[in-house]
Amino acid sequence: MDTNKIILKKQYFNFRWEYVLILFFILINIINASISPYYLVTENLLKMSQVFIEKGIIGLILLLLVISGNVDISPAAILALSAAMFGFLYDKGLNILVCIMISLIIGTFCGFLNGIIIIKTGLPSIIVTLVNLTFFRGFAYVLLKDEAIYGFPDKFTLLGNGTIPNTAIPIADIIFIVLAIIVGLILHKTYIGRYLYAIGSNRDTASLSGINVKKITLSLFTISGFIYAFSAILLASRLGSIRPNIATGFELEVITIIVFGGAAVFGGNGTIFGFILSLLTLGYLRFGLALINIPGQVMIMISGLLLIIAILSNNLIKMINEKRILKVKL
Amino acid sequence: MLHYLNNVKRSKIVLKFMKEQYKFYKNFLNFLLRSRELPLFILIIILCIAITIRNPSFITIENFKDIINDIAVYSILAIGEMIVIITGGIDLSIGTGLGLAAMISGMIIVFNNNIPPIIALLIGAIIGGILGAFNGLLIAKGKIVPLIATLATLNIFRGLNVVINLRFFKSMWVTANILPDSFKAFAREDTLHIPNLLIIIVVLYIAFYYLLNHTVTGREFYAVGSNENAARISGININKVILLAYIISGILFGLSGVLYASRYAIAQTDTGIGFEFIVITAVILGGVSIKGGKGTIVGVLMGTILMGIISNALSISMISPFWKLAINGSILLIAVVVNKAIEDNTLKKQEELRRKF
Repeated sequence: MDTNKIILKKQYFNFRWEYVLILFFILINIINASISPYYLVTENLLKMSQVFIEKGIIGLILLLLVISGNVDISPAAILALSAAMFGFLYDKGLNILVCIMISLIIGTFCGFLNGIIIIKTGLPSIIVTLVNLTFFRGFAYVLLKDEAIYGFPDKFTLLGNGTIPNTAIPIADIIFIVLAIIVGLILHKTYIGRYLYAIGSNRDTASLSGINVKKITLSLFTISGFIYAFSAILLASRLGSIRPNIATGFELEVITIIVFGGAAVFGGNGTIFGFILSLLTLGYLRFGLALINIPGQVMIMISGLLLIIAILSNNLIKMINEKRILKVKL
Repeated sequence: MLHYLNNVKRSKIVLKFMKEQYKFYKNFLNFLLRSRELPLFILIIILCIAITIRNPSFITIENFKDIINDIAVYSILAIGEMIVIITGGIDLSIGTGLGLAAMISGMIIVFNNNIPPIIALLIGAIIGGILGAFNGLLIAKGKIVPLIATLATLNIFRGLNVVINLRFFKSMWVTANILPDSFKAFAREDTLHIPNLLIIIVVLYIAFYYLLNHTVTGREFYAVGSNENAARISGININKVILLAYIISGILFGLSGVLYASRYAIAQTDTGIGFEFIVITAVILGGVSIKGGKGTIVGVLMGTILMGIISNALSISMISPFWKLAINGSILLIAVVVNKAIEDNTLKKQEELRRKF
């Protein structure tokens, strides 16, 4: 009788990746704080968050895509194309608001193109976005030809660099928090969120139970295009200059953040809580690496290694949980 | 008696089926749609004529030598990428893997000037094999999706390149003035009026043609790619086959890393970035199904030649180099969509045939 209870208790305590992440987060903060005395200052922490907040905004929508079983690896390319379009038009002397509008439209169209090809051909989303990645990035080069566009008005650069008056909170952070709350509510509190999990776990079952998989996929990709273009504007405003090779390697970093946050690459798994934890952990890990003078390419290598470790340990956790369930059944 | 009758009935049905199939194949359009090499060949010839009209210097032996030398690296990479794609995976790390192999072997050659080029090739192949085995282990044993795993190793190889360069070479690049002449000459000279690179390509393509079409191992790649469960049930060791595919891909990018260092006399920390897209484009153009299980080595060769001709034509027609990536991307996009349409079409036709009986 007693042993049965213990086994049942064990079953209820499902080993979760988020617990590991919390430990990780605390550990990294302790290490960083011991490296530099200036680390644990609220203003520094907030200022630092500007560096990874664009990735966070991209990641929020990509999280929805990953949960619904689609991997999009073209965000960096769409971002580059809309940024390049913005720079190109600004260089031609157009009104900056018109430039923003057009680049948002271009981004949305790119996302729509991804979605429509995926639902029309039935090819895996990974392949389609891989193909479109070259296409979009190529057109970014066609538009800007290896030139940098800079010299934006102050009001525009304020969007990425500015803070809320009288506080140290960056404007971009507020945008991220609002978006995160919206995405979190959609994902965990509405039926659309349940649909996404259902599609991600089993597309055919979801389709047979009356979910319009194609429509949801298409609208997700279209919205994602809009969000990428939006973060392109934020990034351009923060950096103050645009080059066609802007945001190279973003896709890997964003996918790393998502997978590190406990989402399965095949879909059907992942939480907004895990994502935000992993964003903060990896963001401040990078900050810590920068404190000890590690070059950027090595940082990308470290994020690649982390991605592999995260997936391997996720697989391990899944295996342990499955074994435990088998034991309980026996 | 009943058994005999059944047999007669069955053989009649089989005969009818064969007749239908004969009709199906006789239809020239269907034949064109089924065979992927012939339309590619026709496309190449039409392209050649069009380019020659625009610029007559295209159709000279010198220019063809240039094209061969330019596609040498890609065509070797394409074999490995093709085998990986046939097993149902994808290898994005070939570009930076090539860069890493080029850097390490280049440094070894600079430190030991007397190494003959053949040994250098062997060193490159071993380095590439190790990198490929790393990919393969992650995918076969670690059960990581190939695209994600190789996306991660792409960046790991690149970072490793920087680290090794910084640690052992004080972040100097391997350049023409420090590489020995015998090594630089290897990929540029001719043997019996045939470029060395061409000889290597031909040998490799014949070897892999034999491997893929006439050995058990070769057929196992196709089996795993077309239906993994069926392959497992028929007793194929899936993990071993997948591991082998990535090791072959690794060996080939190692080899091409050395050839790249020899031909262009340089190995930098950013060598090979973006090669994977060109190679994947060539492979898909050559009719290899991205879902695995389908594709021929002749098609891949045609695909690489086509890419080489397009790239050469862009440079001799004075088109801005910034268009290159966009044009490659558009070709890849069209190739993937057309490929998929053709596959669906043949599947539908086969399904119709099956329904008739």
